[in-house]
Amino acid sequence: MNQGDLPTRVMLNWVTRSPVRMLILIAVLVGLPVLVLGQNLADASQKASRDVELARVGDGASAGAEVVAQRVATLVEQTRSIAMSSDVRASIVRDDPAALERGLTDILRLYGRDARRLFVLDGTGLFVASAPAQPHLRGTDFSRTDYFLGAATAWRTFVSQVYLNELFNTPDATIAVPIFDTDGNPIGLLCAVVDLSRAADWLAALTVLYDEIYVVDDRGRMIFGEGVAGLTQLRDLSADPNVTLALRGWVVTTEADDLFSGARRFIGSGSVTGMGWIVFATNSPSPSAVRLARLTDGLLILRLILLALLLGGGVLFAKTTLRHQQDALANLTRLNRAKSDFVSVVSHEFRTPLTGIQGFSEMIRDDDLSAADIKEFAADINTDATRLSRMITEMLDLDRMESGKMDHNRERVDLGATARETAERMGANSPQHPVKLEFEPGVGPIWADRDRITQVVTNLISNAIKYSPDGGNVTVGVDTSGGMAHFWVRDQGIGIAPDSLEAVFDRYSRIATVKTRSIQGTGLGLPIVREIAKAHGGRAWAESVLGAGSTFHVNLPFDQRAAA
Amino acid sequence: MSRILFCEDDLTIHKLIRMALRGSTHEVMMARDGAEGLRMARELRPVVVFSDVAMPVMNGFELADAMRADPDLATIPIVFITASLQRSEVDEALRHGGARVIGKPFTVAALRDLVAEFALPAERDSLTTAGE
Repeated sequence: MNQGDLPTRVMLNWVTRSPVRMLILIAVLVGLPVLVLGQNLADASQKASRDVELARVGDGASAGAEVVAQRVATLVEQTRSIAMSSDVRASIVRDDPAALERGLTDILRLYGRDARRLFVLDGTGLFVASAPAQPHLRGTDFSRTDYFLGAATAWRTFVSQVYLNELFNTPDATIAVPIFDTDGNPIGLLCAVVDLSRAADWLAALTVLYDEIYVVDDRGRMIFGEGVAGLTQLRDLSADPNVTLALRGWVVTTEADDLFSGARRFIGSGSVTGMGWIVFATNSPSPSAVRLARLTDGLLILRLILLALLLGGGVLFAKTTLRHQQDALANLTRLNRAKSDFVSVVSHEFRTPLTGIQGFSEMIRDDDLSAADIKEFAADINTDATRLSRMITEMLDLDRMESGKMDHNRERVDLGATARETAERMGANSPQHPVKLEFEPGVGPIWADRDRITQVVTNLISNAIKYSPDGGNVTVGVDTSGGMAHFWVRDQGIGIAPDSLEAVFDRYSRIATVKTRSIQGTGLGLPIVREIAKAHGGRAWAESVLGAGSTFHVNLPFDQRAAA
Repeated sequence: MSRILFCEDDLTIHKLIRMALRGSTHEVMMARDGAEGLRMARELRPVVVFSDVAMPVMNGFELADAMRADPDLATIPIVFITASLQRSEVDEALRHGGARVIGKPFTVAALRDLVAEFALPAERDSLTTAGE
């Protein structure tokens, strides 16, 4: 990581390195705002549509409640006007049940299908007459019924609790209206039995607009309804929270699971004035609302996925960056140590020839020397200066090679001839290390910089000599291997540990053992060989058995034009 | 006349030392590494050993340790000649019993002074011994 790297740039680099990461980042950057916007729109739209739906069911329920209240009021009014009619009164006063029955039968027709029966009780609750006629009931005591008690206590109109008519299996209610004589004294009750199963018809007009319309009595029992699945008469719904709320006087408009079908419904309630009954209207969400809700849910899930991706990416980035930084730091530390080792090795190597230069020149200056001595010392100084200069050249060469700034003057080079010439010259200078040649005949020419190839041969042979402090053969070979010219140098020296075979080509990592620390040179010979091989399109490598010697190989491409 | 042993692997420096000390009365001996130096020290009993630190086979510190472990050689002072005068290396040299540490490149004058300093007491001792 460079010094100038900002966290954002590091992050960008990290992201752009992988197409998948890029796609995810783009998806998140583009998708998230769009999603948020879309979801907000969908939310608003869904809320608006919900409000409309809730208002609709609320309206339906109150309209239904009004219809029911009016119809009940009409029935009550009708019954009251009959009760006040002189015919009924006269028949009771005359105690003429047969006439009363006839009269009631005529009147019953006026109710149409709403009333099932009409009957008259006397002032003490005893049955007098009915339509249809049931003479066998005459004299039966009805004084304990809720409608008799309700109506006769204060002699006023009373509508009974809804009850199940077991004969017809219908929810019925009885409207009881007091009958007064001409003096205003109560003489009996006129009762109309209303078949509430018919009352569903009252709401027929509304059922077009609503999925369900149903009426619950003041005890929370279902009285009648339209569109209700699996309708059970007088089913107790008082446990339902919406029913409870409505019975307590609240106007309910909400979204809840339907009591009958279990489906999601909008539910509205309306109270039937004077009865304590509640009308409920329900509607399923419209298909578009359902789609909208699905869309909203989908958008939310997408948004969560994108956020998770973003979060995951962040965590991954942090982990990767941390690892990279740790690696970079470890690398830097290693490099730093290697560099400081290198500086220490180089300064050590420089100091040795400098000692000679300084010492001999000091003696020339300060001591009384013969002309011959002066000449000899000057030669020594010259040798050390040359040595120093060669080291500096090597360092600069390697730097230029590594940075690709080294020029190569290429020509056709006979690798065998060049190697032979150099090997023989060097062998002559090191009697402890006989140099043997193993040259395969007919190895073609290479396209190379002759001076650099000579440098490769020189460096590898001098390396072999250096690392064979106890002497031994140095064998130099040239042959063809893998379609390339192959040059190798084998020694019988101290060898290289397997894990250092690559490190010997690294400029900073000359194997620093006690033995080799003392070996002269900048340690740049092998790195230079590798750089030259690389620059020529070849490769340099080493094989070794620790304690038994090493073989260094370089392969170089043949001159392609020669092959053609 | 004192025997002085130098351990140094560089032949140019061998020559420099020999030339610098050729006018002295001392017997100057040269070893090319620590192991050779130890052998020569045992055989020839020099009054002082000048040793390079980085040498093949046995380095200067190993030579110093071996001499300290040998009762016959333990009292011979050792002067280290090192290319690195870094604090850590000087400390290490002193830890290994170095009487003095000089750095490369050293001056001929400094070398002659050191030789005189470490060789003279021995001459005095031998004179005293001879006088008894």
